[in-house]
Amino acid sequence: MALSAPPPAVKQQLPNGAFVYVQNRPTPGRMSVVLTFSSVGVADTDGMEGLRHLWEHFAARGPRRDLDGFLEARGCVLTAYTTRDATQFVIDGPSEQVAGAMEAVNRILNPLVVTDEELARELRVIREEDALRTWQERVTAAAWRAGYGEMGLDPFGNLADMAKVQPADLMSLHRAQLAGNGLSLVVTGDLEASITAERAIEILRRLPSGAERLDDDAEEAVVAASARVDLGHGRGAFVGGMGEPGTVAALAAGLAIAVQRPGVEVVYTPSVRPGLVTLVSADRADLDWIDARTDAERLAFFGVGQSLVQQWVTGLQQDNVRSARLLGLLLVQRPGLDLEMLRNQALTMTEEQFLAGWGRFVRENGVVVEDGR
Amino acid sequence: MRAVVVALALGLAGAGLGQRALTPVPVTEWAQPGAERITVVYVARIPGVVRARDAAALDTLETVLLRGGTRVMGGPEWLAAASQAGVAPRAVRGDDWFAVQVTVPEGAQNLGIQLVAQVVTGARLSDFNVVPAVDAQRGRERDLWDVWRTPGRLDRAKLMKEDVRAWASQIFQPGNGRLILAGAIQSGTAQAEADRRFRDYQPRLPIPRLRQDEAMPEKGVPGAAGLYEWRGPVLKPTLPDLGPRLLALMALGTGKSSSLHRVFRETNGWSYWQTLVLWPVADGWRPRLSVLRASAVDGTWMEEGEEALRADIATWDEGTVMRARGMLQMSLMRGSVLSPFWVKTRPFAIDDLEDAALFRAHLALAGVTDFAPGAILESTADVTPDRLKELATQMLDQSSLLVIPPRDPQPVELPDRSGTPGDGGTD
Repeated sequence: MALSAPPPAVKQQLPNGAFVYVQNRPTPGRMSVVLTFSSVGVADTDGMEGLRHLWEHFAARGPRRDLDGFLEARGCVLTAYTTRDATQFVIDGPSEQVAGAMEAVNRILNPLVVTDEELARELRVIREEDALRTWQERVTAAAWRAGYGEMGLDPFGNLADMAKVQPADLMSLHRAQLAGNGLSLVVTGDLEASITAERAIEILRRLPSGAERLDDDAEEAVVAASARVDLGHGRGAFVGGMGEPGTVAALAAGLAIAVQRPGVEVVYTPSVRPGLVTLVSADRADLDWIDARTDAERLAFFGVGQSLVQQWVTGLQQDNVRSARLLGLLLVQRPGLDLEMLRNQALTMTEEQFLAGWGRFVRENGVVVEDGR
Repeated sequence: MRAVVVALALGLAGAGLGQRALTPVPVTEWAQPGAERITVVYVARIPGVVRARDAAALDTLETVLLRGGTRVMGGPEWLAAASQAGVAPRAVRGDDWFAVQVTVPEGAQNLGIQLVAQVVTGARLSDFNVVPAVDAQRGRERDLWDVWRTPGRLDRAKLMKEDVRAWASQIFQPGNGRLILAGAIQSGTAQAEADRRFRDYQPRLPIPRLRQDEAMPEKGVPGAAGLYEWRGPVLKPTLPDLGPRLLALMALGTGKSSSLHRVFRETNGWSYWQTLVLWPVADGWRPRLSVLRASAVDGTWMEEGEEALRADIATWDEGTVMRARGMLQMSLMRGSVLSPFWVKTRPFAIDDLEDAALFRAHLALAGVTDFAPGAILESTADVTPDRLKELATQMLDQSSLLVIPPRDPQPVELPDRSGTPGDGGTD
């Protein structure tokens, strides 16, 4: 499938600051809706780590707690994600159900009431969720905390902090989130863009602007560091964020390493903010292997890394849900950035950039996480 | 019946004497209009019963198989050739099947078949690659998800490099596997190329496994959460009432409005993760109603859980049927993070070429080469709530229970929330 001129789309910023983006895409019979709430201005803090995650659990069920049933009866599914940058609610389903999906968005944007009893029950569920986190997740969280200090707080949260949350905290956060600034709604798929956009605008324009969301961590300190976990190993490469060529080069190198060492997984959550590309493995030898390669051995996989990162970008563009999630995030972070820029960076990546990308994973340059048993 | 047995015996004897099998590797083609690449999957049954140490050996084979190159190409050279479409090659093992998958750019179909054939007929499993991988396996601690994937105990301490080679020699035998090509394929030409590439595919003298350990129950899951599961009988994709049975399973365990989710999470707050997984085995799918739970120390609660589940089934109505059909359509035709069709630790992404091809490869192994999701959906059109209840109850009646408690159960109470009125306490 050739990626040429973009298909018909409606992109609009409303007077209250919210973004609406609706795009017709060649995904026969399928549509995706992504509602994105930026974390800027409402980010977790030390002592209240995990408030946004807990809020996500309630918001995803809707004010009447009936959203899943409403959507699943229409063949749609709702999933929700909380990352450092944003909370996203994703509805995926048949395109003829787009009206139902928009109604679900409308319900999420209604006032939320949380009772003590509900909160207690949900805290039990969160505790269950914590017990199920994979070692890969724990390695990645440890790398972020080590590399970025307080700016690298774990979006999952801290159970002790979450236990202190009161219903009023959640309802207050919900009110702060119901504002145009820092909000985007992306609808993509096999649909009529202008009609869907009309409904999206109607839903969002009733919201107040809210406080202007100023990025409060532009000066994020980068600290090369190490950490220990109970299981697994990791290497974190510091990157500047999407749009910065070094990020694409680090991804290319990381993907090329994972091809040669199948036990290695590459973890990267797309963001325009500085962050980490993390390689995790159960076997420390996989990560020591990175250090031991000569430049010639690293460059032998330059072409492979370039192909892999191009395919990664293509995958982001072609996958309806992933592309809608990324678009939603970019709209609240840097509306001018597009995926074509990433593709061009991958195409024009030089051997020097690839080597530099590889070098970011080397022990002395990145974050090192080791099995502390 | 006797004649058939004799014929099979002759076939095996012939293979043992080094004769060439007539159809070493049958090919199934699945053209995907609009695709820009081709993916080639070789899938084979794992012969015999997989015991404790065997599973560790198969895990190791999965890790090292593609790393060391083949008789024709060195490791880095093969990996570079097999990654040129921008998709990493992979080896995937199931409970009783094993797959090798390579994706190549459009127009490179023969190269794809060639690269897969090289691995199947002559992967180099040298000490240089295998020994460090075996050492790493020996020292590795399993986590909850590893145990969920392979619930039997893996005795890694006894693992030897010979185990890994023995399994490779037994899996990669003529007549044991098949090829599936999907994507931008050149239809009608793959079988001839496969015949050419596998023409020297001689039966290898199987390397005997040195010792076959008995299957042993896992003592406990590392960490705070245990694994609790209702395991149903294998669902064959050739069953005449496959559609209605799948529908009942969807109502039971797929989605956040399923009985499992409503009873175990929404109503009781017993667990965060509870779902139906249709686990791919060589003959079809094993339904697994899995619950991972930290707030229990053993499986005694499962009786109460099953009772609640059965009570919920009794309430099913037309709305349940409609929702289940929506979930079935989503799972079969669009894919989703909530789909019950899993590979390893995640659902198949049905709209992804590589996952879709692997899904089809598994079905081909189970005897279905003309999979038609639309027809399965249609076959559910007349299913009534009563029929749905009957099939779900039957599944529960026929299921066995699996309980692997946590090794480090944690106190159920959360940190003190003093001063919070109406704290609901614990379960």
